[in-house]
Amino acid sequence: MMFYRKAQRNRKPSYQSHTDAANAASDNGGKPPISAGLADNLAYLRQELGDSPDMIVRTFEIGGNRIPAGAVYMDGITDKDMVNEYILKSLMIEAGEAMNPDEKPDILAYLKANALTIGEVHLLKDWDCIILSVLSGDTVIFLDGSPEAISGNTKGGEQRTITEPSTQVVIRGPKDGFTESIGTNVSLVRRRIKSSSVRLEPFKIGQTTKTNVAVMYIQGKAEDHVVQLLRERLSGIQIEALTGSELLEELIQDQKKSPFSTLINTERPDTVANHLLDGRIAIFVDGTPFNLIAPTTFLMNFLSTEDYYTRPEAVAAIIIVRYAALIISLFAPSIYIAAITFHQEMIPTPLLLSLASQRESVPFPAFIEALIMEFTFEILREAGIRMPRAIGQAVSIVGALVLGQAAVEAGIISSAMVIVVAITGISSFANPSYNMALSIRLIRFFLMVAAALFGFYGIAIFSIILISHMCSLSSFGVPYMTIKTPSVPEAERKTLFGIPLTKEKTKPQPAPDSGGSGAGGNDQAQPASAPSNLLNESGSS
Amino acid sequence: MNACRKPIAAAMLLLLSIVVLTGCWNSNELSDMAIVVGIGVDKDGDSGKYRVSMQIVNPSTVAANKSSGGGQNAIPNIVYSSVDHTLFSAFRKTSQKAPRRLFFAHSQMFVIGEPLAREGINGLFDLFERSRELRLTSSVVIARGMKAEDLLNILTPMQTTTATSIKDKLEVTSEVWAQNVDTDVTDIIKKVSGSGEPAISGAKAVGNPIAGRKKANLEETPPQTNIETKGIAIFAQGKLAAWLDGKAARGAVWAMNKMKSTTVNLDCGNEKQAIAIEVIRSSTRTRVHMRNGKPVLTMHIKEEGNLTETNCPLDPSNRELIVKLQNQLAEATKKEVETAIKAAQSKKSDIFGFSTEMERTQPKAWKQLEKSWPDVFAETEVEINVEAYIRRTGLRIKSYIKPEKE
Amino acid sequence: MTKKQAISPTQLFSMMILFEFGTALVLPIGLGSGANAWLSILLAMPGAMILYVLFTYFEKQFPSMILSGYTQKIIGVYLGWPVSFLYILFFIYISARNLREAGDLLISASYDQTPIAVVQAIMITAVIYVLCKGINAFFRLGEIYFLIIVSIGILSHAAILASGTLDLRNLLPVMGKGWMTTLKNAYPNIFMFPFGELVCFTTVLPYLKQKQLSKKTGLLAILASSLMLSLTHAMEVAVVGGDVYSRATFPLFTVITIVDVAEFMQRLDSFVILALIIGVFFKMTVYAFAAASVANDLFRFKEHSLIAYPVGIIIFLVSIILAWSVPEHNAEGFTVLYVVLPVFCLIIPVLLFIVHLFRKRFGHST
Repeated sequence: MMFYRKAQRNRKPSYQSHTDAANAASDNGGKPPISAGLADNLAYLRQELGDSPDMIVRTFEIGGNRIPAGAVYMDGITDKDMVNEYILKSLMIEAGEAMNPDEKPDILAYLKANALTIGEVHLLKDWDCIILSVLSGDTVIFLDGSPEAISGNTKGGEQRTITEPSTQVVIRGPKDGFTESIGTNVSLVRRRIKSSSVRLEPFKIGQTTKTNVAVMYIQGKAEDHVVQLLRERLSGIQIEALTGSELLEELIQDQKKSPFSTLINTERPDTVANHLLDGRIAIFVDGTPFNLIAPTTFLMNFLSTEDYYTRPEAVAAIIIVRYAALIISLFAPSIYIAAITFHQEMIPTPLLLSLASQRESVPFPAFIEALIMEFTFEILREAGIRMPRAIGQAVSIVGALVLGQAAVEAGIISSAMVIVVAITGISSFANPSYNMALSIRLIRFFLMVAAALFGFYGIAIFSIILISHMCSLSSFGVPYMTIKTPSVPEAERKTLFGIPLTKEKTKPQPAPDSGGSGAGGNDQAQPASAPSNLLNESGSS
Repeated sequence: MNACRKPIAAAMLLLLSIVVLTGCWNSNELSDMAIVVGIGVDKDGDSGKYRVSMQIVNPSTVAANKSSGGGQNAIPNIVYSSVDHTLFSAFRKTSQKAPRRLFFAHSQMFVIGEPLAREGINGLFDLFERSRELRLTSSVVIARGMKAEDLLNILTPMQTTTATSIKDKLEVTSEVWAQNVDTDVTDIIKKVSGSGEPAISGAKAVGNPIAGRKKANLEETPPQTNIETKGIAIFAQGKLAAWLDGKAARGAVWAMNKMKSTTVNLDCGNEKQAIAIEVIRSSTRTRVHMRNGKPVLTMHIKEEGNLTETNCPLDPSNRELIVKLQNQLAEATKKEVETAIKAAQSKKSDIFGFSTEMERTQPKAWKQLEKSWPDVFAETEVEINVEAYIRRTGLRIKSYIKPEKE
Repeated sequence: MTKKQAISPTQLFSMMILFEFGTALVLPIGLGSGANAWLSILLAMPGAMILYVLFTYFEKQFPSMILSGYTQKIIGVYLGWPVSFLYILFFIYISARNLREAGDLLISASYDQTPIAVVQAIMITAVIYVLCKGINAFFRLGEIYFLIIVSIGILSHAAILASGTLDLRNLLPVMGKGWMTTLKNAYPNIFMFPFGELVCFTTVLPYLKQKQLSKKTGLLAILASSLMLSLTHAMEVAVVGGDVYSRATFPLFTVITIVDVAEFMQRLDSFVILALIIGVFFKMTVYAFAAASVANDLFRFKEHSLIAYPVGIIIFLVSIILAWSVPEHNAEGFTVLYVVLPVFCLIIPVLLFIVHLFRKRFGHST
């Protein structure tokens, strides 16, 4: 898939990009030049692709001169209707009609200019580009006697329709989610921001997979040095395969060894749009509905998309609940262990007596008990993911109630421990960001060890080390821990720890535009001539 | 920053391995601990040693969840005693008897036997100050006419331990009946380190203390042997000097500004003590000023009450009646306070904190009088004025009782 | 990847307050004035402000130079180098003292069976780790923990108020021992500890992003911290009385054990211990950072963060061999308070100032 890019001043050519200009400069990479003979070309191509059964070759003749031509495309990733209607038909029938038999030389240019009724065509001069084109779903047309080929964009094939995102569900808000096709994804975001300041830059990453990656940001809102840094990093990636956004995240993040992720991934186009408007950068990866957003800070893990669509007072309360859930999910087991083994004086006497009577029958020390329970909980969690839907509910009930209750009555663990683990588990689900929840799960175990060794002192020192680690993180140059919502000074609301402080939005700051409506689609008067054909917006891609 | 990573990992591994090699020091498992809820101290004959008793609770009997172990047949608490010169060594000595490690952080009651109290208690509390486990908020009580150990051994009903039940009793009664005062260790230390004397409530066993040790004690109602709080002990030079009982005790509570609520019965014409006034709020302000080089104390008591019960026909809508009742109340209060102060003065025991008041407001005079304060206190003039108000009469105004037909 | 090392005024403010809290929050300071400690703190405040203004003056005169830099400039390399080296030793020693005090307090309050070496080793690991991460991360950490400590403070104060154990009359008589004692307590005792120790911040000020705010931020921090310290100590005295306060090794801990609100919020001891840990940690790390900065400056090391290791380990070792017991440590503290601190925090800077003025006036190049 190829994009047309507006010329950028500081743009560096990205790895294996496609333009006509680049074509001329590239070498064939050790392959023979394109011969003029049609049969040779087709044979060579067939051999390169390993005689693959889904490579379809259609030979035909063009024009009154009956010039032999061949169209090559891959079955399955092309839209057959387009191939038949717009390439074969236009070349076989209409071109022939219109062509002047005397115009022999630059037939390809003629075809490109007059005959081929496809939207996107390129002139290809080396095998690498041709092969890439064919494998991407274009149709490549060879002409006998011409050492070049034309590719027409006929990408298509079966794709998942736009459905509700499965992981990030919102109660009030749009319900479309990303699919695996990068074109669809970009379009979903484009639809929401009709500003001419939106910039899109393509990259191809992965020598074998040649995955399409696109970077989108709003010029004027996103910080230039961050964009530049991102560009450099993406261009510098030397990797064999890229099949999802997680690997990309690992490759471009600032710090290599940290349990915390410094990029957000999301399945929702409205999230992406909102973040773009806040001055961040979106990274689309072909083949996965999860796209990345950079730069991020720690606080953003606690804002869910829903907050954009809810009243600020409610949002403020809910964010506080989320922070409380974070603290509980991180510290609850450790505090329990520390209190029970080191600081029994901290527990109110009646509770202590109750706990003591429970622990009479338990053979393990508190730390081992906690480890067993947490471990079991993790196993249950993993099992719950892979359980087929039908049995899933039953297992969770069985796991939680029966196992826990039975274990208590058998005297293996105490009921207080079950409660602690249950609360921890539930709190970790309250976290809006899955990445953060994973990190917390990992850190919780270390905290438990620290608590078992040194009680509250251990917890306190470990927290200091943990928080200082977080303070040293940065996301593309933006510090990871900030108190105010990060990035753009013209954020819409003043916030503290993400909690909105003012009710009114500050005056909207449109991106520097060349006229037209402001970014974000505020209700400014549309000039009468702006094409606002509502039917187009809601149509499928 | 890159240079830091490997060494840090190495350092932390080293640190962790040290810990693993030698074990964790302060971690204790709950099931290895015996939770002490009450401590008692007696003198041990004439040896000059202390006999220290520790009351340990059996958690399964007092826990909320009764399904596990224990059940209804277990005794809620056990008392172990040891003898030694200092409290701390007696604690440690008990490890020879108790099956688990003693844990003191939840001990809330400290009982002192009366014989020991008569010999002097001033030196008993240093351990409380220094120790990180013992609580300075533990309540202190004198076992009246008996040894602390005997008192602690009495089983009490309602599934609480003896120490807890004494403490609860003390807490409640000092707030609603106010003939006892809930003293904790901090109060005592404050008074002892100054020139005052502590005032400590007494607890008495009603019935046979030996029979109280059996479970049978719990199986009848009312229990054969019960513990009651009775009186306030006043000390002089750290030794128990006298007991204040009944109205004198209540007067002392007023004078110490610890009155929260009580009931005063007033006369109604010929009927003695037929009207019950509930005092709901009371505050006492004591100020000292010098007159001819001698301190004079002014005590101003302001209290509010409600009319809660009456045995004779009353019509409170009559304003004069209310005023009369208020005056009666003030009179009764004043009398009780005077009795208390006289009793304390006769023993040269400043339990009311007048010395602190002097020190605060008349520092120069205090410097001179400090040494001979007990004598000065015994002769200090105290002026008492009481301001009493009766605010409400409950949900009725006029009583239903008709005046007797002549 | 070298990031620009810069801190914001808010971060400086938070760090200064955390530093001042350090051990001063939990220990009885101003040995001797007993119940009037809170007043002495307030009296010491103006002196502290003046001293701080002196430090900012140096900062303005020699931008982007730390203490060792302008010391050498003012009195020449041959004198300045040894003096700066002495400062390294001073910083390390005081940091070790703080570590030792924290260790002793933690052990007295909670961890009586644990050997002090272990308690301190853990703290030092955290210090080394934070030092390695650099000044940016450290000050950001300070911002966060400032909020935490203020929350703990508010919670504890609220609990104490709600428990009804506060008796303002315990604060009387004000100046029972006379003006002179209170004043003598303020100068030099409280003036030196904790306020004189701000000399550490001379190594930090060059990193401030907006240089013109250094004075205002610092003065505000001194004001805020002395008010909060004074309030806390006054409250301690109001709850336990002057006598217990002056005899206690850990008065805040004693106070908090007395609090009992509604029978469930008992035993807030752990909060106080947490406040102690946080305060001491930051104070120690600032000192360690100061030592590391001066060392880096004097010896011109290339990789700045590596100095954290030797500095940290030396502090750890010194803290163990400092003194045999707590009373000995306290006795040493007298010497430190009356001799060591004044020299390094007051006398040397003032001398530098005088020499500097001299040179300026008589036209020597500065």
